Amino acid sequence: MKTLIFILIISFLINFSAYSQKNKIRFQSINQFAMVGGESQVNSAYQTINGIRFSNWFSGIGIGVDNYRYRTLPLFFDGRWYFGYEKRGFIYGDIGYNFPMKDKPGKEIYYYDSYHFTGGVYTDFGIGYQVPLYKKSSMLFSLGYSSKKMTNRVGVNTGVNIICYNYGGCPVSYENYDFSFNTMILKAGLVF
Amino acid sequence: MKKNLTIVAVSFFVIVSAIFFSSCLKDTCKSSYTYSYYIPVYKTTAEVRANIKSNSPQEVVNPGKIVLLGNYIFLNEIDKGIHVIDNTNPASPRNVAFISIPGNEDLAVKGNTLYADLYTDLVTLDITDPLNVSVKKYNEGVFPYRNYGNGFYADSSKIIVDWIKKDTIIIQNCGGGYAFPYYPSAYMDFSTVQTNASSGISNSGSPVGKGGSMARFAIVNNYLYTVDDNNLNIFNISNSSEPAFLGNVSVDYHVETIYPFENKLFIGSNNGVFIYNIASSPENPVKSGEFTHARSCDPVIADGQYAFVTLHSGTTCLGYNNELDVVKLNNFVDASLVKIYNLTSPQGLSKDGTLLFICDGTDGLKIFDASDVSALKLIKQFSNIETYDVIAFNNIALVVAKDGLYQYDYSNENNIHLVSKIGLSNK
Repeated sequence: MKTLIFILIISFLINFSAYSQKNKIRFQSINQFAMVGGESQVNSAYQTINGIRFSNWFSGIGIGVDNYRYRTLPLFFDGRWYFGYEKRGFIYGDIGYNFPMKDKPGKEIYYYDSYHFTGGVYTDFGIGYQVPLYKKSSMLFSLGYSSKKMTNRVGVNTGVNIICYNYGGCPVSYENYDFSFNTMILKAGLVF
Repeated sequence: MKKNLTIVAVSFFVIVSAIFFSSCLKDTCKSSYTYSYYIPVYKTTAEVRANIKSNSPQEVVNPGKIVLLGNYIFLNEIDKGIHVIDNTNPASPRNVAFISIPGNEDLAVKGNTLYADLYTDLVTLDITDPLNVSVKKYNEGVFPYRNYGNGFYADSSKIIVDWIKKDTIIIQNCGGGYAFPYYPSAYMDFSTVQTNASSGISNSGSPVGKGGSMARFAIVNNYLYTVDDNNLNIFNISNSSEPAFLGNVSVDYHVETIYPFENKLFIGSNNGVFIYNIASSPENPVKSGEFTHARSCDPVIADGQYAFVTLHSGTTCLGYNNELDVVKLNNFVDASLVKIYNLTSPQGLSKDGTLLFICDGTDGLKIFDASDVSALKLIKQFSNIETYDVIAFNNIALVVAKDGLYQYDYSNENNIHLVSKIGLSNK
């Protein structure tokens, strides 16, 4: 069984390589620095997207760091369509999940409240322009709209009552905050 | 050149666009707050008093203070009443009756008389037959320091007998994406009379129930002493069924416990231990010494030479210390610290002979050989329970824990073992 799977994988890779050469499919890495601006602040973000370029299309998987309000780590699928002169213009769309990078769960003790972040949907779509630099590398700029959602569960010690005194543990009240951060995202980067 | 101009133009376009559009976007935040509040269940004074009798036994749900007298254990069910437990056979204690006393947190027993608080009143019960108790007297308004939190004022014409818990969810905009916790006005039972149980010493006349170190009621001879948040209250119980309130003495802020020993009262507060002499004038206790420590909760017990004070942090007591302080009493005048032992979250404690029992919170029950107080030796630990208070008496250690009432046989200190447990209801 293992041998069969191995043979199938090798066959697929050989065929895909041949197909790629014939149809100009190639691996591409997009690495971007971004300025993220919204109601509250302007902050930075970084992304690396790696995927396959085929004709007018690109599809890949991206990961980055988004510092707007609460630092998160977005993991997303990226798709883009190239158009115009030498296919330099493009529109793109990202959808994925952003993981919170700030957390302090389960620390409910007296005088010390807790917070517990959970991530949510990450989206980003916009338009951009790609300028050839050298061989297959390019510089790209884009402007888009980005949205990230996340939840913070805040634990607040409610203080005093008889149970609290007797057993050394005060009851904790929880409040959930559902955030939706909506920003413009201006990116510049390099494509290899 | 044309290529560079294109790059500059595109860059300019996207930057201006970004600045222009970003000001149009808004962050949103919705907060959902789940909280519980309590609605009081009232009864008239007549209804409550009619029910203060030996009712059928109830399951232990939220145990508080405890008093041991003869073959009976009187166990407080916080704010509800007192369980009467027949402990003739410690290996098989029987919950035989429940005395319904709303607001009850403290109790003391002498002979055939039980004294208990009923919110602001003192109720005196004849317990000659624990299965058929009867009320002898109400001293009304002698414990005025009872109140409720968050702006709640009870209907003073009635008595609160229970609280019904309600869960509520509030959803609202928190604006701008900034999170500010919302504090609702909840009706929490918020008592300044907060600690547990009663201590026993040798008394003239009728035997006195032995209580734990978390006691706030203590009986010495013909006097009942109680502590509230600031004061030491004195009752004359020469006529056991007719306690007479004599007055009070201001002690300190945040008084927690009282422990009688050899005509002395050891009163623990957040700030230290105060020793009151009642030998010459039991109606007018006089402060004869004190030992101050870091702000903390501090049950205290004493023997002839030393006082043992446990400090624990957290909850209402503030402070950050979790330790046992051994204090030399120096004739009860000039107490001095002998040694500090670090513990986890020590609360109630008890001493019988050279054995020192300490309830160390989630670390369970610890039993030390205290032959040499400057070098305590841990000889046994029961770490699978969360303990609160202990009475060690007559080779049985009665332990109030979060999940029940335990009894340990320590007749052989090399084989201290569990003999029984009364578990709690999961209500």
